[in-house]
Amino acid sequence: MIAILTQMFLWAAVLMIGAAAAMTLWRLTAGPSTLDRIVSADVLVSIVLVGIGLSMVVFDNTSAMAILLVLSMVAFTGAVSIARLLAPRAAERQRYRRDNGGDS
Amino acid sequence: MTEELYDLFGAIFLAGGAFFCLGGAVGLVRFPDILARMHAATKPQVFGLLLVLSGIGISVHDAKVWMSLGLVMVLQILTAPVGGHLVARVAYRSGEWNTDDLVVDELSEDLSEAGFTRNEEFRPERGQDRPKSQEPPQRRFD
Repeated sequence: MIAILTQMFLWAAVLMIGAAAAMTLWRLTAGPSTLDRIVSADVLVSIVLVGIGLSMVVFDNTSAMAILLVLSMVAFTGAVSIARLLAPRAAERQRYRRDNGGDS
Repeated sequence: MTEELYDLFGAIFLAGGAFFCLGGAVGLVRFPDILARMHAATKPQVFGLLLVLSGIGISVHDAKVWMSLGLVMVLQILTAPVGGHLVARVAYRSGEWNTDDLVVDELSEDLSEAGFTRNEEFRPERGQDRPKSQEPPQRRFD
């Protein structure tokens, strides 16, 4: 009985993660601006983290722990670097301007 | 029996975390602009990841695994705000959002106190945000 409940919860988790990854991929391809794509790529990385964790529990094998650690360490660098890359363009199309012509 | 209970509670935590991730993805698809999407993308995502990591820890219940999982949790909590802050700064200044959606906008008051004036000819629609009366700004290589 308990084993069946455990299987049900695990399958529900796998299905929800699949749906979440599909929706995030849709936003990643269709997102109107580059910032949407950065944010959804960030979300996709953490969904991959969750998927690796799920596979660790399902297959009862904790050797993927190192992947989890490294991925959580370097996941934010993509968002940071692309945000830094976009900053001059954002200053060009800025909503706010300084009066004396300096940049933002 | 105890092993099965560990597995069951771990699976419940995993399903809860996956549900929060699903909620974040739904918000990412349905919310109207980039600031709202960032709200949906960061907070449920990190909380769902914490729940899933706790579920792994309960299911495996090994002290070494708990130490690695704690490290992953701390790293995630420390690094998620860094990326979120930078993306939000660029998103606010690029202006690809609608002013009418905001309830309070304290950053614009602070910016106007700091000497920035509102670009009145700004259009939130993409591609039409350059003011027509001015010539395009000079490209700077800095």
